[in-house]
Amino acid sequence: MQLIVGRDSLSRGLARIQGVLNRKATMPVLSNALLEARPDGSLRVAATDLDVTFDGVMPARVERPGRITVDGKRLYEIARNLPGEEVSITVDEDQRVLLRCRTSEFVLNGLSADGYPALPSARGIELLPVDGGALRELIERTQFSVSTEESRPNLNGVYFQCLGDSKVRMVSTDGHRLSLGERDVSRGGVVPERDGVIIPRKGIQEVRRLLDEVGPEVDFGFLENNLVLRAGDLHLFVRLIDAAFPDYTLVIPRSTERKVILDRLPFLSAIKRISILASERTHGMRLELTRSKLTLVSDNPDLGKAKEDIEIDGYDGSDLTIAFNSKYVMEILSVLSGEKVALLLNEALSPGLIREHQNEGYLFVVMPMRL
Amino acid sequence: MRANWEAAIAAIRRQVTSDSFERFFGRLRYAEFEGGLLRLHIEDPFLRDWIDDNYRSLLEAQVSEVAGDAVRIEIRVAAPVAPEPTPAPAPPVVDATESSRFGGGTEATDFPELPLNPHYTFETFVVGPSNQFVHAACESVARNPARAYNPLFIYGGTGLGKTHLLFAIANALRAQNPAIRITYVSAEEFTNQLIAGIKNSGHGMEAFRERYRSRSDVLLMDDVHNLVGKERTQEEFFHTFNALHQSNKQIILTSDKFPQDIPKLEERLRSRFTWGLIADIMPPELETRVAILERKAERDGLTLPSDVAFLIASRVPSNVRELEGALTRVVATCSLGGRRLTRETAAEALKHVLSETDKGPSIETILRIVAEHFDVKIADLRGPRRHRTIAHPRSVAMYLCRKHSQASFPQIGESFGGKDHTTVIHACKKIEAAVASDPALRSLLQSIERKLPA
Repeated sequence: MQLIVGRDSLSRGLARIQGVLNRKATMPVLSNALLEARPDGSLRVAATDLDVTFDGVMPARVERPGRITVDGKRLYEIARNLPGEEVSITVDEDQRVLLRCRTSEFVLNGLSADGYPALPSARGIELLPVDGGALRELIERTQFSVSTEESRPNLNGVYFQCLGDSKVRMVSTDGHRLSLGERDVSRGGVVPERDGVIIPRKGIQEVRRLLDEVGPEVDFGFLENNLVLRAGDLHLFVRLIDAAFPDYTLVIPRSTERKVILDRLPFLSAIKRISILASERTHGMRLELTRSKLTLVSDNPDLGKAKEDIEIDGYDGSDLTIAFNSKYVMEILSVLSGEKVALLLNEALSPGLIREHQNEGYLFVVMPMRL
Repeated sequence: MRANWEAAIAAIRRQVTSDSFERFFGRLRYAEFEGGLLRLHIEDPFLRDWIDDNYRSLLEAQVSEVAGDAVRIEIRVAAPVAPEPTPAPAPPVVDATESSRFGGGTEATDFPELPLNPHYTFETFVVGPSNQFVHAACESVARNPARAYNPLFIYGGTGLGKTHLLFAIANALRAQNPAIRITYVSAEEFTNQLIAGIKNSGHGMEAFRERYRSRSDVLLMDDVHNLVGKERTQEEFFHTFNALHQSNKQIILTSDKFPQDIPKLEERLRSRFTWGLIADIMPPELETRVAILERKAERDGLTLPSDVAFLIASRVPSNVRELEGALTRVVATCSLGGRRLTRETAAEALKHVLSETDKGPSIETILRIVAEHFDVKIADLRGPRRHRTIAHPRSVAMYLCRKHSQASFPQIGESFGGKDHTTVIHACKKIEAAVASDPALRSLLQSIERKLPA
C-alpha cells in the first residue's frame, strides 16, 4: 500500500476517531485505526470500539491500494505535528507503516487489517436529511440526566423516538430526574415515525461531538441495530442499547397546582450561591414559596446558612416549602436558553417540573428531597 | 403489620395529590413482613426503582412511626401472575456447545436447547458428609428457583460432581415445568460465543444478549474461574448477571475456587458471586467413595465384591471421575482377560491405572527445564558433546528423569539421542554419589525439582 495524502485532512480524520480507540480492549487491534488506500484515489480512515464506529474517506493520491491497521493515537500525534503539507504513507510486506513528510520519517508497526472487526456498511441504506443543529440541541438538553448506574442498562442512554411529521423526541432519566425534549428536525423531506431506540451514553457523546464539528447538514438513518449519521464522506455508526426503555410517562405529573415564572439566569445564579453551603453529599436546598417571593435556603449545621430572596410576580397559589437537589436544578437551568423558566409544583412529596416559558418542547422532572 | 402498612399509606395519601398517589404509592402491594423487614410488591420494574430511589426513606419513616418500631422496606418486582405458556414440543437434542450455530442464525429462537443428561439427577448423586450441604442447597434451589439462593455458587475440585449437581437442578426444574428455558454454558464457551458475537457485526451481539438476558429462565454456568483476566467477558457477564438477577431468574455457578480466591476477577463480579449462597463440595470420604462405586456398579449391572470396592476407593483418594474410571478399567481388564473380579485381579489392573495417572513429568519436560536452568540447548543435552558445560547438565537431566519420570534406563538413553542405558546408569550413580557430599549440587537439584510439574 502506498499513497500521498494532505496532512490536514489526515489529522482531521484521525482527530475524530480518538474517542473510540480503546487501549484497554481485549482485542489489541481495537486501539488501531484502519487505513485503506482505495483505487478510486481516496484514503479511508475508520475505527471502532464495537459500539461506536467512525468511517471516513478523504482524497489521496493512491499509488498502490491496500489496507492496514496502525496505532491510532500515535498516528494522530504524528500527523498533526508533521512539518509539511503532504504525507507519504507506505506499508511494506511486514506490515510496517512508513510515514514521510519533508524532513521527518516515522516507522510504525502495523497489524494486518484482516484481524480488524467487520465494520457496518452504510451502502444502500436510506438516509434522511436532518437539521444537525436541532438534533444537537435535543442532545444537549437531555444527555446530562442519563443514568450512569450500570445495573440499569436501559437507562444508560438517551431514548430516541421519531414521532412522525419530522418530530424527534429524546428522553433520559437517572431515577431522580428526567429530561424530555421534542422538536422538529427536518431539513427538507420528512422524517417518518419510528419505534423508539436507546442510544448509549458514549455514542450520544460522539454524535454531539460530530455535530459540533460538521454543522447542521447531516443525514441520519438506521442500520440494523445501529444509528447512522452521515456528514459528507463521513459515517458514524452507534450501536443501540439492546433493551426496552421504561414507560417514562409514569413519572411525569399530569397536572400541577402551582406555577411560578422565574428569570432563568438570576434564578441560576441564586442557586449557585446557595449551593456553596449545601451539603456536599446531598446538595439539598429548600425552596419556600409565598405569594410575593421565592426564598432559597441552604442550612448546613456544619458550615452555616445561606438565604436568597427572589421577587416573583403573578403567583396566586398557596404557600409551599419543598426541597430539591440544587445540582439537578442548576443543570437544567444551564442547558436552557430562554429568558424565563416556569417552575411547576404540586406539594412537597410530588415531582416538580421545570419548563422553558412559552416553549412546550422541553420538560424536566425533578424529584423532591426530604430535608 | 398489614394494618400498619395501610395506616401509613393512608397518611401519605392525605399528603400528596391524587395523581402522585395513584402513580407511585397506590401501586405498592403489601407482600409480607418478617424480622423488621416489610416486603412490598409492584409490577413495573422502572417504578420499583423510582420509588426505591425517591420514596423508600419516606415510606420507612411513615411505617416505623405507625408501628412504633424501626421497619425497613424492600420493594420487589412481583412475579408475573400469568402462567407460563404451554410447553413447546420436545426440543431437539443438539450439542449445546456447538458454537458454529451461534451468530449464524437469523433469529434468536435458533439457539439449541440444552440437552440434559438424564443420568445426572439428585437420585443418582451419592450423598455423604462431604457433599451433604451442597446437595441440600441444590435441592432447595430446584424447589424454589430464584427464591431460595440466588446466585448459588458451587465450588470444589475437579471431578467431584459440580456439573452433576448443575444438571440435577436442571432436570428437576424441567420435570416441574417442561417449558422452562434453561441455559447451560461453560465460562469458556460463553467467551467463545461472545467473540463470535463481536465478530458478527450484524446480529451477533444482539442475538448473544437476547439469548442470555431475555431467553433464559435459569442460567447454569460451569467453571466461572475461567473468566479470569477476560475483561470484556467479565463485563458482558456482569450485565447478564444483573439482567437475570433483577428479573428474578435463577443463576447457578460452579468454580474450582472460592470467589475470593479467583485471581483477576472484577470486584463487582466477586461481590455478586457472594450475594446468594456459596456451597463447597469436598472430596468424598472412603465410605462415600465406596458407595459411589457401588452405585455405579449397580447402574452398569455389575457385581462388585465389597473388598474390590474398598480397594479401588482407597487407591483413588479424591476425584470421583477418576474413581469411576478406575472401576471401569478394573472391570474391563478382568473381562478382557477372562478373569474373575477379585481383590488380586483388581490390584493388578489398578497398578496399571495408578502408574498411568501418576507418571510424573515427561522426559521432554525435564529436558526443557534443565536446559533452561543451565542455559544450554536441548539439542546439546541430546547430542554427543562431552564438554563439561554440557556433560554435567546432561547427567543432571538423566538423574532427574530416572528419579521423576517413570521411564526406564534404556528409555532415557533413547531420549538422550540414542545413548546406551549403561551411560544413563553411570550418570545417575555419579550424581547420586555427588549429592551426598556436595551441598551446592543438592540445592541446585532442589531448585530444578521445584520447577518440575507435580
